[in-house]
Amino acid sequence: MISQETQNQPPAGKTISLTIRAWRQARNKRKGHFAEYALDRIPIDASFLEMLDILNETLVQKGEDPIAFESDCREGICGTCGIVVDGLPHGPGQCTTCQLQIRDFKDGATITIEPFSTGAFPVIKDLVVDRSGLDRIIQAGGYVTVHSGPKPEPNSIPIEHAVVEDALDASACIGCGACVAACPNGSSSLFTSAKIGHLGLLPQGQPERNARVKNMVESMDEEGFGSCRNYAECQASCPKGISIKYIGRMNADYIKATISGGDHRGDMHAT
Amino acid sequence: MQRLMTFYDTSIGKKLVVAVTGLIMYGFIIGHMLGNLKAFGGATALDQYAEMLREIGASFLGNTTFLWFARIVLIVAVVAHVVTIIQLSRRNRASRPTRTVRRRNASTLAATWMAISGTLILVFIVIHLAQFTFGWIDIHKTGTEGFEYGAVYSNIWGAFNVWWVALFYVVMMAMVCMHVYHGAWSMCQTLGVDAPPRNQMIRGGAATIAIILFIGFCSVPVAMLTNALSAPPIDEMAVEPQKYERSPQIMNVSEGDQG
Ligand code: HEM
Ligand code: FES
Repeated sequence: MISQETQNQPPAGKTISLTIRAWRQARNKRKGHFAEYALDRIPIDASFLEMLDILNETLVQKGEDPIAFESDCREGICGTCGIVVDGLPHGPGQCTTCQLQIRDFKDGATITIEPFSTGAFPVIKDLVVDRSGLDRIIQAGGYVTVHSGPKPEPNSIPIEHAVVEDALDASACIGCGACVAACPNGSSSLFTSAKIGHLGLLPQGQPERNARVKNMVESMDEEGFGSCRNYAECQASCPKGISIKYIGRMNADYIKATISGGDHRGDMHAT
Repeated sequence: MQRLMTFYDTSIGKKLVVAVTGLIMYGFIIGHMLGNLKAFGGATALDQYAEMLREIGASFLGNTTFLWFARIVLIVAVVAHVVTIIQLSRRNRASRPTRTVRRRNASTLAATWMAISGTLILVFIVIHLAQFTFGWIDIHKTGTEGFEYGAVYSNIWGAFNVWWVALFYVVMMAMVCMHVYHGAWSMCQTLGVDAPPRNQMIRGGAATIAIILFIGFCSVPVAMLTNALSAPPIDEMAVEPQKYERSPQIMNVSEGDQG
């Protein structure tokens, strides 16, 4: 068992001091406030979230409520983490919050951390927001039907290389919601369009293509996300660098789906 | 119908209305700018051009019928554009009650100013019509002719020789051009015609057209203020009344007859 003292000792190596200005908002409260925490001896090779872990440990030791934040994989693939760091979703640089490193901050810096909150992302507690709106958009159409019998030989459906790449680029979306947090209108267009693009570009996504775009777009509005004004702030904030070209594609697809009406099962041509 | 209502209810459907009505107005302002350049052909050329607009299709529709048709299309476009934008903005405000997130400067000034430039354009449209179409606002340099229906060149010459009127037009044209610079590209994105291989071209085209529009629109007030365009001929007024008589044989009036 490690004594509390050694637990608080940073490992050998360089350390820095930071002031954390964190958004504190109690559960089920509509208002919150900023609280400042002074931290010293933060190891330079800690990650940003490890720094928050250290801060939370000291808070727990003092008998205070730790700062609630979300994380899971801590390697930039699951999209669970998401904090506005110094006014930027996921902080400076093109990465997720969990990929932020303490070495990228200056000794003595004050770092402001806030939740990804928008109208459609209400705060649950502190830095945790309710992003289930994105899940409901996925439920509305982010799937393909696969029959349960024997699977065809994978290479039996030839797909053009450029189309595969395009679909893969869209599929890089980890659903973190940074696009929504970055958008001055709180729009989830980049997220929705990435999912629609990812599935709609591939032959396997054709049967539900029209129904998918209609249901997902309509769900996006029902969830109270704003409209796209083509500011492109989402693209600049996306840790996966997803292009706003998918938004253009979604718009065109939605217009086409409205004109042609119902879904076209059996229409196996990717365009 | 149901399908159309659902479509208009979504933000993409609304954006499409904004884009299509924007396109109609875009077409109009390009035509308007080119028409204005007739001023460089002299007072008669400009006045005749204005007269021609009133007479399109006059032989079978009657005078100004076509002009009114175009006006109604434009009025509907402006109203639909503005109403839809108000609806969208209301939704956007609801979805963004607090904003602490900074921009990464991905958005251009033109993009962030869309609502500001748009509102100024709306104010400008009202003033512009009151000034040069209806003549309710009659500001002109002392010693020049006041507003007279149909005497287009003389009307604008008098007004643009007041320096602040000319300045007002130049500033407003900057707003219009800023609006359509972002608007033209944004419209391509809304309609889904923008794609990486075309993006540079569309952005460049939007910028080029915006600059051409700005220069074209501003050339007339600036040329008049600096006297690069001369004062209207004194007898222009005397000629006008005959010219604007709504004679049914107006199509037969050739240029020679007017002198
Ligand atoms: C000469 C007249 C006008 C032209 C040519 C024009 C053109 C356009 C175009 C092409 C767009 C892009 C549509 C899109 O993003 O899909 C646009 C958007 C916009 N216009 Fe106009 N417009 C005009 C007048 C106005 C007026 C009078 C307003 C007043 C409120 C206005 C406010 C806006 C706003 C706020 C947007 C952004 C809408 C959005 O993306 O959500 N515009 N306009
Ligand atoms: S925790 Fe999984 S992406 Fe950050």
